Amino acid sequence: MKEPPLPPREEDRLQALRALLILDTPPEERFDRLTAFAAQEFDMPIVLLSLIDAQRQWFKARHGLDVCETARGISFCAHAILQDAVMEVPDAAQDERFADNPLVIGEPHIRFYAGAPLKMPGGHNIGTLCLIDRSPRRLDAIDLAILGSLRDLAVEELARYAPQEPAA
Amino acid sequence: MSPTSHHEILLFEPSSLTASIIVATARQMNLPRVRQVSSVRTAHQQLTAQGFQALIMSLDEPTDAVALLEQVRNDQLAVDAQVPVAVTIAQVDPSTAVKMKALQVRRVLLKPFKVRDVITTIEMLRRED
Repeated sequence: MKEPPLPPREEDRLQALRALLILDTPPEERFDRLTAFAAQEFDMPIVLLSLIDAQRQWFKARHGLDVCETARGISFCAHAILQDAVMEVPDAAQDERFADNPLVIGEPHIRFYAGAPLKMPGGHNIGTLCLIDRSPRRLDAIDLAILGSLRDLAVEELARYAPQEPAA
Repeated sequence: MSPTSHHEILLFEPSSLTASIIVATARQMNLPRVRQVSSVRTAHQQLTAQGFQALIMSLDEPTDAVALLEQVRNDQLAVDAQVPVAVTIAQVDPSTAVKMKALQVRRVLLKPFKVRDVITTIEMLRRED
């Protein structure tokens, strides 16, 4: 298993995430409806809105998964935030980065993963909206466009958490 | 009438979340611009004011929506009477099916439909226009 490297300007990225004051807040309908919508649209058993903290990934919204966080070192999303495009893993069992990952060989037995990075207005990818299946899959152009639309809505909602500039 | 309005798709979809995802996905795929309305009344205003390349109409308000489509087919609005039409509907009984055929509906999407189905419908209606 390959642990995810840290993105450039990681301290700034963490500061941007923590400035939202969203970590460890209760579930909210406006995020839950996005993960539920994605699960129905893509027939995915698991959909997460995952935020990458220093040592963990924490789920602001989750569909189909009971745990609210996992270690960052085994997180697929920590890899996905290293790029701006959707990171798609068609079959984790065939991918050397993930084949022996505990989330692949154990619960929830991830085989397919697609994570759309949540790029905030400041330019930092603070997490992902991600789709997870227990069988290998591939997304086509329409799927990717729909996932991008859902991701954009999630970013809009997250941006409402951003601290407001004081009035001049 | 706007010179670009004939290139737009009019979407009447009451769910703002579903509609906004359809609009954004069509934009990402470089499909014709989708103009979303959330009531039959607003759809009527749009169809009175300008033409559209195609219509996708929810039949959640069946009486009003069907009446609006009849106005379209009877050439009583600004939109072309032969404009391609698709509808979304919870269920289709025999009388509804007859009505849809009379209104020359090209595709019926049963609810709950997927955004993917609407996108492929837009692609189909655009080809047939």
